[in-house]
Amino acid sequence: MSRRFRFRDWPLRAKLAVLLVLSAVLPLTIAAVVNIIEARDRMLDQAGAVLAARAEELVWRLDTFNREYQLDVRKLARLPEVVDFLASPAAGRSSEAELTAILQVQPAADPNIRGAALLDMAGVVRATTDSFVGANLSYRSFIREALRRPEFTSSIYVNAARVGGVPSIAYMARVEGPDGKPIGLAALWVRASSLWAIMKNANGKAGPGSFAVLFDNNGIRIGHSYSDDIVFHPAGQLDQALIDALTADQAFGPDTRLLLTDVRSFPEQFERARARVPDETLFRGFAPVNQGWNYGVGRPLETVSWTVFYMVPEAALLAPIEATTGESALIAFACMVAALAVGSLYAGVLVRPIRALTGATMKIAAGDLRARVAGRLAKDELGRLGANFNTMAERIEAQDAALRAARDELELRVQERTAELVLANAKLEAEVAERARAETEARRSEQNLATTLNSIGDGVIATDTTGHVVRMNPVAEQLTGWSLADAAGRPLVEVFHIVNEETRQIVESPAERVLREGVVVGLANHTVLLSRNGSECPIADSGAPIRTPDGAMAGVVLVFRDQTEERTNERLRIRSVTLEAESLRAREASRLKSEFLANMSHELRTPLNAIIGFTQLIHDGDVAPDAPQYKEFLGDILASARHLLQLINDVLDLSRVEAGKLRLNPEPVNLSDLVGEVVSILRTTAADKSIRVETALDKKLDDVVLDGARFKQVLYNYISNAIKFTPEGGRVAIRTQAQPDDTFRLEVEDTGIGIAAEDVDRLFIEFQQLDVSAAKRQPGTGLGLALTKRLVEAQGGSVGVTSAPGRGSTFFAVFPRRMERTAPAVAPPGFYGSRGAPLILVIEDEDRDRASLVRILTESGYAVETAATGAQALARCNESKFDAITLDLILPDSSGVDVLRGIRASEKNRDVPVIVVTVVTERGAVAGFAVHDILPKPVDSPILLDSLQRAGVAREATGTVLIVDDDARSLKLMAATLDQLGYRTVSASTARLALEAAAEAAPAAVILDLIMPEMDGFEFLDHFRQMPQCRHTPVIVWTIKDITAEERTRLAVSARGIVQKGRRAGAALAAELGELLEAHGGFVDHG
Amino acid sequence: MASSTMAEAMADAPILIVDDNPANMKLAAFVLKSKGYTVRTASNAKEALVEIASFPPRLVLMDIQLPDIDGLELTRRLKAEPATRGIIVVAVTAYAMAGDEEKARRAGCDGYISKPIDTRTLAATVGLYLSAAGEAHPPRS
Repeated sequence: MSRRFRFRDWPLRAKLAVLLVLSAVLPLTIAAVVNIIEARDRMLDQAGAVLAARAEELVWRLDTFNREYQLDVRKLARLPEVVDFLASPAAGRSSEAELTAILQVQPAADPNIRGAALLDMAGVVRATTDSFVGANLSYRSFIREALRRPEFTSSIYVNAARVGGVPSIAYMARVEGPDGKPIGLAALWVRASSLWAIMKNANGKAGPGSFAVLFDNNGIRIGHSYSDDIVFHPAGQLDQALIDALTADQAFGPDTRLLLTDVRSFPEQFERARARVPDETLFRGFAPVNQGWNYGVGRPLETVSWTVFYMVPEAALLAPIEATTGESALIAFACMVAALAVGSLYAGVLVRPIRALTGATMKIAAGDLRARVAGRLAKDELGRLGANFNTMAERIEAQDAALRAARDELELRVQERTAELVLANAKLEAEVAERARAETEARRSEQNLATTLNSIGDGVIATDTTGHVVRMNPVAEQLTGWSLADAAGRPLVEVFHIVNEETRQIVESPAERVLREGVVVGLANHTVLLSRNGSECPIADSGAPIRTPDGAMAGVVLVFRDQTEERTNERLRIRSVTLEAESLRAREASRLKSEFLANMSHELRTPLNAIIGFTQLIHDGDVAPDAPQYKEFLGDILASARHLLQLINDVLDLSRVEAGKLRLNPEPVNLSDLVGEVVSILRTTAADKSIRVETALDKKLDDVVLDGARFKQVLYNYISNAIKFTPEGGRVAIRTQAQPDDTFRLEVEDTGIGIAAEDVDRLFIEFQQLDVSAAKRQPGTGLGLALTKRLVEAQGGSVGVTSAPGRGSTFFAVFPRRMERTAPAVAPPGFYGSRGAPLILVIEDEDRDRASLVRILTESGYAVETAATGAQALARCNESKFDAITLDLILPDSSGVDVLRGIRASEKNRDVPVIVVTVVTERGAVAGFAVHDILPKPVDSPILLDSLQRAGVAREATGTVLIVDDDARSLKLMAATLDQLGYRTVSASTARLALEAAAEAAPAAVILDLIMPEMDGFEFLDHFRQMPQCRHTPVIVWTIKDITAEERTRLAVSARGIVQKGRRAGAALAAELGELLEAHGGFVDHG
Repeated sequence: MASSTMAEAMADAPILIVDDNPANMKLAAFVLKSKGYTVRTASNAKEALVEIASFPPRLVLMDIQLPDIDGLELTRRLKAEPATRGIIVVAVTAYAMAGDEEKARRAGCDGYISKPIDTRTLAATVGLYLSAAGEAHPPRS
């Protein structure tokens, strides 16, 4: 129900109207309220001021009243008659009557004074205008109070009924005797009505309804401005003691207790009157007199402890404001009504297009898509909204139409697709059936797996997840030596036993890593498989996990391949590369040698030309002994011959250095002495050209250790060169200088022609004289500087030159200060190979060459003894008989010729074939000696072996080689080749004959042709391998046949290598066969 | 003596000897002069070119190894120049290894004599080269 009145459900028009009303009335109301509050504050301020002024006026009047009577009683108390009377009460000069007359004056003068009295200190009336002399008034508290003070004014009280019960005020003053002591009390009893008249006079003075109330210090009302019959009520609850005391006093007559307990509640005033605190502020309090709220102020009296309150009723005070408030409310209401009317109308206008819009939307919502907002549309937001709505509606209509079309289309397609699906479904069913058939097929092919594995060329072993063998193919069986029957269920490590090729350490099988890590493990190199029967085979292996379709590991498959062929190939390749490099080196050495020889020949022939030519002229008598040329020509001959000698010496020195045969004798020398010696030799030569020779020698260099003779040679070369190239009158300076790095430097400076920078590099090379025309005057061999360089370097030093063409050159050499004795360590004699083999003595001091010879010879089945010096060699020759000797011609201790002579002189080796192996290839070197052969260094293996063969030194028989070939010529060639290698051969022209021969005596190896009548090579192999003694015999296939991959695989299992016929012949074939026959296991394909 | 007759006949065949070795130059010069040839000498290629220009020789005895330009190169230049192409060049060299003569011939030398020379036959050999080149003054033997 309440829902219906919810503001949010109100029509828009009503909401707008409310909005307008609120906007019109709210500010007005606020303004009115603010106005009223301000007016009220102002009014209260004014009222407060008026009240305060009235209250103060009233207080002043009351104080004036009191002061008058207080003065009167003071005067009375000081009258001498009164003092006298009271001082001698019994026999006073003034009689009671006299005094009564005096006292009578007071009421007579002022009707307000009800009476006067004199009391003694006991409170007993001694004289009075009334007839109560002797009455003790001390029962009244104000009398007791007055007796203790000089003056005292009582509150309003009601006196005894005997005197009419008149409300009175007692004004009292103490009477003092002539000695100043208090002797009695004078009192005036004044009617309260006179005071009340003053109060009444104040009524209404502070505005309509305003009144004044007077309270004593106990909060008891003692006066009122507009009524006197309701006085003597306390404004609040008095305490019991006070009530009792006042009752005892009969302060307000016999009904005192009743009056005091009838509280006319006036709480504000009650408290203020009792506290008597001066309080200026306006306060609001409830007054019983008008039964309403009043504003008031309180003012204390000065003369007595009473308090006046001036009050004005709130209603009276705020009446004008309330009137204003009413007007404001009326105006506001009028405004509201007006606003509501106008607002309602305007809201109607505002809402109209919205209603049109609402109507249109409701129609569209109901499905009428043609509905539009009709009429002219304004240009404001609502107008645009309408226009937009129309656009939107049009779009919706269009889209709706499109959607309908699309839906129709879709339905059509769904129908089509449904038809297709039906078709596809049928096809799928067909496929499922097909797959079922395929699976059956797959199961069948699974059975073929074994067949496949059996035909793979690699070894395959499968294990379960615990690493136990479950499957092996024949290749694996063959390589491991285990049959599947034996191996099944065994741990893989027992069957597949692999070690590192070089370290022989056991290698973990990849299968174990696969089991541990579940990953594919790749090829491990340098691995050798040890088969059950102890044979070895280099392999490459890899392992991979076998996984079930859900990814779990079901086992491991280990695949390994016989690597014999690859590794042999690799070895051959390396060897081929090495040989190529060696050959290149040899060719380069040969070229340099030829060049050197050509230069040598040239240099020798040049002086010989002069020697022979002039000699011949003289010999033929073409120059007469007395002719002037005769002596000249002889001089030329002599000079040329000397030059020739120098050349030969230089060449010999050079070749000695070259061959490493230079022997240095380091000893402590005195450098200065050495320099002096050389200079003195050349001094004449220098003097001939007027060349000054200067020396500057470092004194620190007197502890040098070097080969003095060689040092002199170097110095001689430098100085003679310097003199040669320095013009007459020049200067040659020789200096020695210690260097910081434990070397010293020798310098020879000349003032010669100098050397161009581009020529400096050629300086120290053999036969490279630069300016020969200058050299002509002192012809050189062209070897001096080259030799110098070698000599210095042999001593661990270096040479060089700095030069400026035209100004001179400085040649220098740096020597170590303490040259180490470099006598070559002589290798001790050694023995290599097996006892019983033909024994060869290798005499060779060069370690590398000796090692090379030892290798070639031992590899070919010879035993070798070595000697590094002539002395060693001769000692061996005197001790043992050798089958052959190889001899190096250049030895450190003696010449090859001497050694040769010694060999021939020895008893045991007088006739032994000697093969000279040397860098010197001219036969002349050993002319006159029986030498079997001279081979150049470095020696090639086949050449040396061939030479030994020719010398009749066959190497140890290496077993019989069976050659199987139907071609007679091939048989012959192979037999000859193998013969050369030192093998005994047996030839067979058919496979059958070969098998018979093999049965008779197991061959050490077989060379097999593949294409043969009757039984071909493959068949031969099958039979051959069945013979127990031939199971591991190496077989080399030598064929002209193009071998297919399949055949190659077959051969890889049973043959060691393949050599293609017709590719190689002679030594090359021999080398290859030698390689193959010596290869340990494995398969080599030289096809 | 027959030889002196021959020398007289050849006296006007001018010959240049190029050799960097003074003794060898002296030897050849002495031999040829004594047989009547007019001989000039040069110890390097530069001198040789100067001599050839001022003293046109009929024949040059050319040493191969010279300090500046080698004898083969010098020969090539002479043979390339029309003015000097007709001069007979005979290599006389201490390069006497196999192939050296071939090298000299290829460079354009008309003859080749290896050192050491034979003093008994040098003049005759020179005469032969002169006559073989169609010279109007063939050496008489």
